[in-house]
Amino acid sequence: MYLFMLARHDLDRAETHVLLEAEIDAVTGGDGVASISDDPPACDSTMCNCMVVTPGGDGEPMMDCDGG
Amino acid sequence: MVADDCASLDTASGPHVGHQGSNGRDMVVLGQSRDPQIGAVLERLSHRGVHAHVLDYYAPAPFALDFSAPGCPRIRIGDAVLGSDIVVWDRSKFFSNTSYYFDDAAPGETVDDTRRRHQLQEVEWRGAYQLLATLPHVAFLNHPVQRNAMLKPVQQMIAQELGLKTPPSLVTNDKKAIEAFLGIHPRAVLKSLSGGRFARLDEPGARTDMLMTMQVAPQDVEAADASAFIRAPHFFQENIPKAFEVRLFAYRGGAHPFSVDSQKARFTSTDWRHGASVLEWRPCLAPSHVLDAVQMFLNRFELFYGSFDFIVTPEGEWVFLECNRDGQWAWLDRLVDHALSNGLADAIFDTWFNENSKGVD
Repeated sequence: MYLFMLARHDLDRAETHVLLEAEIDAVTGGDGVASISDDPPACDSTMCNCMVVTPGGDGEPMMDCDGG
Repeated sequence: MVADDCASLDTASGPHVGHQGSNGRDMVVLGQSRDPQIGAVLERLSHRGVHAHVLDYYAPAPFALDFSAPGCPRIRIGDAVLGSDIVVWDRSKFFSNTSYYFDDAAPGETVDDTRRRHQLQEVEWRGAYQLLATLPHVAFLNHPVQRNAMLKPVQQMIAQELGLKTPPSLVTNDKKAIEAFLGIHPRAVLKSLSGGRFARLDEPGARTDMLMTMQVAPQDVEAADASAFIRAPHFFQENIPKAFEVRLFAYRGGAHPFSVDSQKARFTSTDWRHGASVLEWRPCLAPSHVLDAVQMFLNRFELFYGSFDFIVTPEGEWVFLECNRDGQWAWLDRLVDHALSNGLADAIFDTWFNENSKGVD
């Protein structure tokens, strides 16, 4: 483990993918948003950990940092 | 002296041909015309007679900052020559691999050539934006210098002073300090201090990752070697129990809180950004002491607007997490018939473009 936060990040990202695939249908009611990949269909501007998407789905990245 | 110099220069340089707003001021936006936040606010301002110019790095029009004459530069964007008194709205975003970044490729360019060119374009546009921020007579929202004050621990110190509850936090590269913190707060999360980006594990050099908020158990830290912490500061916080979370968009004189049911699923329970598109957002009410503190926070950091994140505990207590000086809010705007963009535009108008406007106090 070279850097704790990086190791945790890689693990968390992998775990979150698994959680997403398992839970997304339950959350959405199977309304077609179930296909989660590195390019979620609701977003044309994949951000960060790949699942940070814009609720509007119109090219607005859903980001939470100030671009500095 | 500067004001007189600029005024005389204006007179000497001939008629003003820019689209000037009321009160003799021009407005310049740093960012992209296709940014939905910019579009909504400028539409409202246009209805009130303020026609802003977007200094667009993505789809640039010709512009010139002419420093040939002493005293005050001449600013031209497209065909418009601006006056010396301008209001600049900084919505610049440079996030590679998103729609907030360059995406053109010249014929014959290799991928590396394109990336290299884009990197240079970015830093030069940043330089021009920074230059605008330093000119006399420029009112800026939000000023680039405020990025320096946006580190979460600093914000939380100020938030505490303003009467808001915040999570206990620790920044350290010392394993022993982390273990001591976890001894008191065994439910903890690990965050990024900087919000910066780094290469993705399986796609080095292309897409980047950002450290999301992650739960960390004491045994995770116990199992790690001290050397895994010493190389970089690590930012830990107590993991505050959540009933739901709130994104509150505020500007001078107004605020719009929205609740998000982040505890609906495990993958959004620690960091709702993992599932922002599938969670339900609703306008909500905020306690008056929170609304008061938010306005004082904006004043304290000299921000005109910001996006605030709160946890609301099962007991109903609001816990301040952070303020993003320029977070996204367009998707919330659509939920309330553009109340956010209209409110921000009206606040900008009342502050700088009304006949009686005096700027920010």
